[in-house]
Amino acid sequence: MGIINNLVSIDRLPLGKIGIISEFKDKVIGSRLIELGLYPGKPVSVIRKAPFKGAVYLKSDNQSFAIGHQEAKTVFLTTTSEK
Amino acid sequence: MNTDKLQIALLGNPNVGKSSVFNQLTGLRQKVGNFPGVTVDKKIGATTLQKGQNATVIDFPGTYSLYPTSSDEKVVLNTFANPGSKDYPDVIIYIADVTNLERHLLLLTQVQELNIPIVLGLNMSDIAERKGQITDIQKLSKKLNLPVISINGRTGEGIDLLKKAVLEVSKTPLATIDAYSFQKNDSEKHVIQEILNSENIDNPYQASLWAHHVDDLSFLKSDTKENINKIRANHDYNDMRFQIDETLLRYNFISPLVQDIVKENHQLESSSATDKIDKIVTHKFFGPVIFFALLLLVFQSIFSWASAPMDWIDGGIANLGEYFKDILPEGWATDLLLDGVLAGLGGVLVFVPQITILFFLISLMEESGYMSRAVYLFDRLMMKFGMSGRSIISLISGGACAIPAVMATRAISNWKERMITIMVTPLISCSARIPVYAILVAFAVPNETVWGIFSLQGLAFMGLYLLGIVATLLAGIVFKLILKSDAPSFLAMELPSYKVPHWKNVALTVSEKVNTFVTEAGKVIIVISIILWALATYGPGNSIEDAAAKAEMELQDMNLDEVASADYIAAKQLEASYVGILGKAIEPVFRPLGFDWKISIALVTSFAAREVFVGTMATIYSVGSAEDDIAPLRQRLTNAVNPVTGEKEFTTATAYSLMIFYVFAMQCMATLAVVKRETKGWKWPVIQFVYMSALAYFGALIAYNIF
Repeated sequence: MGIINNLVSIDRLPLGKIGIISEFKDKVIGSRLIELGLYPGKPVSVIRKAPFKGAVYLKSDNQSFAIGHQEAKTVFLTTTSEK
Repeated sequence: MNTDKLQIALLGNPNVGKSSVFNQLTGLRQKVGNFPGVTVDKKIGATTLQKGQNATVIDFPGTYSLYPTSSDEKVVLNTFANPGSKDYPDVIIYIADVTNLERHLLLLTQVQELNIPIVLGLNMSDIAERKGQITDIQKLSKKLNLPVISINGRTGEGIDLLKKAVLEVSKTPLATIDAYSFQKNDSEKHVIQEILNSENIDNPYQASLWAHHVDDLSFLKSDTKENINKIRANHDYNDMRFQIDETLLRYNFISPLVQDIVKENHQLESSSATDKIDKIVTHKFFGPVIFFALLLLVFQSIFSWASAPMDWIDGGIANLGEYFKDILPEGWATDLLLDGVLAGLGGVLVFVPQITILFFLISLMEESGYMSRAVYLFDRLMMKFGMSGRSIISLISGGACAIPAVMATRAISNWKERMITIMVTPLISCSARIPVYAILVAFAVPNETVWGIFSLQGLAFMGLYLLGIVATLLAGIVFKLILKSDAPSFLAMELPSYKVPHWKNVALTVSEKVNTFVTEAGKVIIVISIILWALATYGPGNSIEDAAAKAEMELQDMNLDEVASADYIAAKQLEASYVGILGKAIEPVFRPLGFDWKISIALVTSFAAREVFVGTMATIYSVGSAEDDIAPLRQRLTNAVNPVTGEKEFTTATAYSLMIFYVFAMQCMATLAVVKRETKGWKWPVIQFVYMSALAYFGALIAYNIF
């Protein structure tokens, strides 16, 4: 038994699971998210997704955010899982 | 500092309730201006800080930081990075959401480094209280080295204290604010130092902004830009890296501070009201259903609630005209006043009910927080057509009237998405096209039922609407390919908690929209309607009188009753007027579409508004007195025969050609006037007129040759 860290983009984070923001692949989207208070170290979880690869509904610290599907692919999170 | 004419900037993040505070400060003493060179509105108001001390307040667009991602945010940057700007403030009132302090302090710490005196207003204190959150205001004030006031934008609580604090900070000499200790790397330090030296400015953060945003700063002279670019290149300046580092460093200061001064009394319930509402409202299936139900309501209300007040305005203007006709002396001046100016004014005022209703409903959606959920649901769909999730509101409102729809694009912050929405919205068939479609469909499509239930005419009507929608979306795709964007288009936004709309804000939004339309677009509409009226009323020399005399001669052999005689004379007079001459002159252009000079005349006059087409055709075909009844006109059109060739003047092919023409054509001066107002120039309305006319021309050409 051990704990492993995984790196996944927001669009691939399972609903309800919490990930910690760790990296931005797109600088513009990264800087907007930082401005919104979503900077590396913040926990986020995906609440739901709009149909047809639409936007992702996120929650972090009891606040709600929307981020486009393409945009979500550029934000990477660390998640932990037990082996 | 000159405190006689204090200039205050109201600054803060989007959705912080800044406009409520602006309204509290200025009441109705506000107007809308422009920021130089951009299509962003500048709301300016006057406030009284204390007896005898007035100040100007500028409400800046909501901004997250001095690193702009939209044209709205660029305005803020261009003002605050330029101490020479006439909008540069003496004092900043910074509004922050106390329930979300961490994020809201980011921009504050940035402008603070520009050494402008700041008063911090903490809004939403009532919500914080309900949440059981306690903020140590004194400690915050001490740590940030500026006055902090707890306010409530809705009730006006704390506004007096805010004013007092503004007065105080404007009078006390500014203590130098310690810049947050950046561990700037060598490259950045050198770049900043060299800009400070070579450009003769003394604020390091200002120099840093110049280095970072050199291409976005419109006020910099070209040799300054050249110099900065050279310095940047010399030191291998990496702006994205620097931005992220700077922002994270600021959070390193802000986060512990907020944790220290904000105490949560009890744990938040896991599922707040907002979460519960969003579970349904942003649901995969129910979300869109609720959205379209709401839009149906919007659409229906513009259509039905507006029709009664529109009739009153029409009737009122007509009565006013009758009244003045009796008391004013006869003559050209009276004609000009009544048929030109007063009719033009009527043409402006008649749109007010639609604008009022649409913006009442839109600002309810904005204020409550629903609008950002609509963006969440539809951004992906609209993106394919070069537009934003908000554009869908404009497109659907365009089904009632393009004017409020174009005005509603103001909320789209991305310039390119906004322009595309403005350019394509008038292709959606509006209510003014209905009378035109009605007469043409009644003429060309047999009144039959197909497959048992569908009326053929109804299907034709629907076909015209669908054609408009398809054209709108295709035009969106084309503009998406052509237009260059000034800022990347992406979706990453906050979904604010639901709030009960604040009625004062709703009322102010509505009155501001109506006011702007009447005073700004109204001028253009009145001028064009006076020109159209003059063209239809006067002809060269005595041509009008001659035509009337000739018509009366002809009437002697025709044995018509009084009404029919008057209609006949009116038809001949219109033919002899400048509009008649113009119609005949442009006939060769429209001949390939199957339009004769009579239709050409109606095309010219219907530029005032599409429904005028029907009235003009009725006048030309000598059934002007029939007014709203289309049966006599239809009869005339069916029977009309060209006296020279003996062929039918108005064929089914002509009718289809005209239908297609009216689906596409930009036959509405009021919309053009509004587009001019919204884009702040004639360039975009001209492009719009040209492309829509071309589409109409070739569409009609194809239709005429098919049928």
